[in-house]
Amino acid sequence: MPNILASLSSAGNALDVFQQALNVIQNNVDNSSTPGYATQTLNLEAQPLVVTGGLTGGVAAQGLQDSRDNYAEEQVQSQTQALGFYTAQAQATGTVQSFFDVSGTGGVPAALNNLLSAFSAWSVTPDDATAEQTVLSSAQSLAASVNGLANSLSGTSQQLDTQIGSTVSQINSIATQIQQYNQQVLQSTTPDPGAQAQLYSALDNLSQLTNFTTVTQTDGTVTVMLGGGDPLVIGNQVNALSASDAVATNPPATYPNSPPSAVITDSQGNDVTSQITSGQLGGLLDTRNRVLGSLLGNAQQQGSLNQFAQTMADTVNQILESGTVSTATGAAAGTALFTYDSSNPTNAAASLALNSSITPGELAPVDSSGNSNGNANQLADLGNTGNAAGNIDGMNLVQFLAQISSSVGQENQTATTNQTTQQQVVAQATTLRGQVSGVSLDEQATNVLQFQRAYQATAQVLTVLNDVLDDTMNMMTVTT
Amino acid sequence: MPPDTAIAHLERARSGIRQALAQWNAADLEQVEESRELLVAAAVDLRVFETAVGAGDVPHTAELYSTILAVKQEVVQATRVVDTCVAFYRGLAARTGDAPPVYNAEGHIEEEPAGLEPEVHA
Repeated sequence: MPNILASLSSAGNALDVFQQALNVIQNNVDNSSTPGYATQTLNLEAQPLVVTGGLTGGVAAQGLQDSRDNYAEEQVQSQTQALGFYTAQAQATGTVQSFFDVSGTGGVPAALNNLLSAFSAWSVTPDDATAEQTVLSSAQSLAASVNGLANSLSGTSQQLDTQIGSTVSQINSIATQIQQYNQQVLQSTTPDPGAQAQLYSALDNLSQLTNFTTVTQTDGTVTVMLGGGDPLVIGNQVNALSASDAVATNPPATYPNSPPSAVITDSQGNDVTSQITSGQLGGLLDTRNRVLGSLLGNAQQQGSLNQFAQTMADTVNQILESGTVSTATGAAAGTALFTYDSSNPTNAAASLALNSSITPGELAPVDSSGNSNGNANQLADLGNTGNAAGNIDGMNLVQFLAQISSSVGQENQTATTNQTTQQQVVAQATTLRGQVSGVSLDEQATNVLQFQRAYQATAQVLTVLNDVLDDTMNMMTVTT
Repeated sequence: MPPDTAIAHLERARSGIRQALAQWNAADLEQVEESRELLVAAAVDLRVFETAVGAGDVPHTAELYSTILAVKQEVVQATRVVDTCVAFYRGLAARTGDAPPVYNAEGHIEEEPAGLEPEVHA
């Protein structure tokens, strides 16, 4: 009789265990679309059977095991961070690019060409009042066009600041979710699959916004650190970020009155901007501080648009002021055509204006040697290749403007290409994550090697393709 | 070789590279092999084109140069995708103890790569 009871008990236990296994399967089915959820299996273990010793055998449940692979998770998160960066960068640089007319038929380049044409027409008839008036109106249009571009770019800076603030809020909100998970872990003795799914979903969302690393502590809590190691979440503490604008003072500012840069600080006020190099926030900061900084200036640079405005105004004014309004003895000296805020080199573009007091008759076509149209000719030549007057970095004013447009276009093109490529990379990393999840890598070592060799073989063919294309381009005499 | 024929080789190579990238599926060995074969065929076409350029059969126009540049950009794109997979599996191999040996400057096998922690399921 005892043996029959033992058998019934063993069978009863087994039914309980298999019921648990069915519950786990049902839970997997129910959560098949839950973000962050990983399929789980119930580990079953055979119980010892010793007929003479009273051990009844049977089966026992040995806890849940989920199919998530931390390595694969990190790979996907890392690639998602890069995608977030390129996506934000492509969108933001696209907005910046839209303000530049690459065709040269509109915007600042067209306004500059009109002014140079007006100088040229004036050099033919230096005493003609209509030609003088055209010079003044063209100069006014150029100033307005430069102001408009500077204001549009400043507006973009403000829009990016708003987006940066919103992204920081999202990061803090996710950090709070992770902190709540940690609190739950500290209060509970067994892992909760639902809570874990929420954690991984939160980490996936966070990876779109910023770069970070995670460490699972021995107590089961997850520590999240920004790229440079500054903690965002430790245990039940959140080190919330905040966004602000400031002129950098370390190293000391060369242009203390420059437009401020976007700064991210932690809850202790530490500047962590340099730690954010990826994710959406990284892409926004890059465009806001680096791309727009190079155009509008920041603590360390004047900004190429300001360089253009100041150099153009100084060169034109210097030529006009060095001459006289006519060839008559005692004729009045020329008057400056442009004004700008000379106290702040990073405000030159926004403050560029036609000299409000100048009249057509105060334009000085006569150069210092007494040539009746010497100055007008010099001004008309400013856009000619090889003319050293008004050069910036070895380029004349027209070339310098074209170079600004070109570099902005290049930024956008590179970001867009990187975004497209990164979308494919993320798709592949996600596929690979799915492939290795729930698989014992020790048992699959042969497969791992097979895939590795197949990829390497493909990579070698791509190297050959790259080399052949390089050789072909080197053989071609046309390089543009 | 007539210029049109040479340029047709370039276009066919470009098409093959695009197709290889479009059907690349890192989780399917068969498709990985098909992509590789497409790339090998593209390499053969590019070699023919390169020879024609070297022989002066093809006019060196700016338009053609930018087409080659665009093909190169697509190769760079494909390389980044494949490199991601290589890096992913190199990491996996290191974890299973099957990482390839590391060679020093003299060509001798260095110490085995430091073993990573065994796979731990959360």
